[in-house]
Amino acid sequence: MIKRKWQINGKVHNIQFEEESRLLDVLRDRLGLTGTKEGCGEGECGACSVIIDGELKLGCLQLAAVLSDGTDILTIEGVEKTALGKRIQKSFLESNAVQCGFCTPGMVMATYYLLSNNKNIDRRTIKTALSGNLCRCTGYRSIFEAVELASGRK
Amino acid sequence: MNIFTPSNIKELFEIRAKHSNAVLLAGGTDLLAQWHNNKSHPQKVISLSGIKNLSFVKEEKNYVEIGALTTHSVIAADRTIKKLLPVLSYAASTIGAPAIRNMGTIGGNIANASPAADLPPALLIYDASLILASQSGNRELKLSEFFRGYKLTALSDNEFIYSVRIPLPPADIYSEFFKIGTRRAQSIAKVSFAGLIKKDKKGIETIRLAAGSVAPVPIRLYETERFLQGRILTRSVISSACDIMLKYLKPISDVRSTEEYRKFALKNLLTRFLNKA
Ligand SMILES: Cc1cc2nc3c(=O)[nH]c(=O)nc-3n(C[C@H](O)[C@H](O)[C@H](O)COP(=O)(O)OP(=O)(O)OC[C@H]3O[C@@H](n4cnc5c(N)ncnc54)[C@H](O)[C@@H]3O)c2cc1C
Ligand code: FES
Ligand code: FES
Repeated sequence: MIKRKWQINGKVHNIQFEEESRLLDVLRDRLGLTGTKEGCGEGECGACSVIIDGELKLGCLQLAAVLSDGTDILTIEGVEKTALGKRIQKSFLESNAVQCGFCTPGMVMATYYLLSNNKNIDRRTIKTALSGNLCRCTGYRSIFEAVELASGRK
Repeated sequence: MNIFTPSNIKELFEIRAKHSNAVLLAGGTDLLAQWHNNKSHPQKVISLSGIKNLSFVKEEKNYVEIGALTTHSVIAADRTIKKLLPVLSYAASTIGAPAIRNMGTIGGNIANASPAADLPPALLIYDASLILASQSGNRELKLSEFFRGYKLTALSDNEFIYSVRIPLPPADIYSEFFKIGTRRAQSIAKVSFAGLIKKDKKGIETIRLAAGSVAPVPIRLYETERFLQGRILTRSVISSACDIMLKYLKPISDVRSTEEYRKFALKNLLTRFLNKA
């Protein structure tokens, strides 16, 4: 068993997990943070997107044991409490960018990462920012529109 | 699984001396996807990510040195690399998507020795070499000599890639990186190409060409370079260069139509590059 002390969504957590656990497993199974989804499990779909020490990463490709004490992790449950997170959620609903909703947490994480790090947002930057996120029901157009709306450009 | 997290290189060597079969883990983008696919993982893993001074970009007098743990995001955004090695900067920016670029490292991209990796063709035209480190010291090896066969490298058991050294290219060159197809579509069609050229009044003074996904390893197109050296670029020279390139290509063992497509695509990329040069 590995023991770690991480800051997750602003709160310090002491956790234990198996050596081979991925961050995705720790979040879902140990902490009950089930907003982070497992789609493909191999980096292709973005459903497991989280922000680790300020960088967008994939929970399914992140071995939990290599994250040292003091690591700062932000998941969809933390993002939806922020002002920017709320604005993004609202834009997704208004733009009809959610159908089954499986991809939505990942899409919102990637959007949050984009909007909190960039000022000049256009269609191209949005497409690049969401290029690692797959959606199998909604057309991407309404998702891109939601991001544009949240960025305040529309 | 036993996971080791050394915080410096000395500790890394000590752990490796005791556990020679342990697998090195950098960003994990190749390895964890592989473990998931195979539903199995190695018994012993050594993570490099706790070794902080393995991620750096240093500009020296004659070369740029990049630490093995430097991520694709850092390489794509770095001003020195953008200015001095634009093809490398651009190639890094085309890898995967933002989260993959935030995780994947240059060392992993090279060590993985995939014929489809994007950084090797860019590094090959810059004549890059690797600094390989082991307990008994460091050695420098040309990247072109590092790839030995499909997913085979010159790395010995106790070595790891410490950094990549890239000599500064000559002034007034024209260089490009092209990539066709995505990783998802890799099995059907993916080809990458990098080229660097310098011309003077007499013709081509320097030319370096490299390609990915057209052979079991990323390759330099030496025969084509030799043919073009000193020549003036005309339509017929470009067409002969393509013929020579295809003649010397060791085709990837794959479905026939794919092989034909790859050759066709590579020919177009070389033509495009020489036309623009
Ligand atoms: C969804 C997805 C999309 C991708 N798209 C692309 C793409 O477009 N282009 C592309 O080129 N690649 C792509 N990749 C592949 C991958 O992201 C890269 O090859 C990446 O650079 C690997 O680096 P890593 O640090 O994650 O390696 P790891 O997975 O940590 O390691 C890979 C291999 O390298 C070895 N290794 C790592 N570092 C060292 C070192 N310093 N010394 C010795 N051995 C070492 C490991 O033991 C292992 O065998 C993609 C991967 C995924 C999952
Ligand atoms: S589950 Fe991680 S990218 Fe698909
Ligand atoms: S809304 Fe169903 S996968 Fe995107």
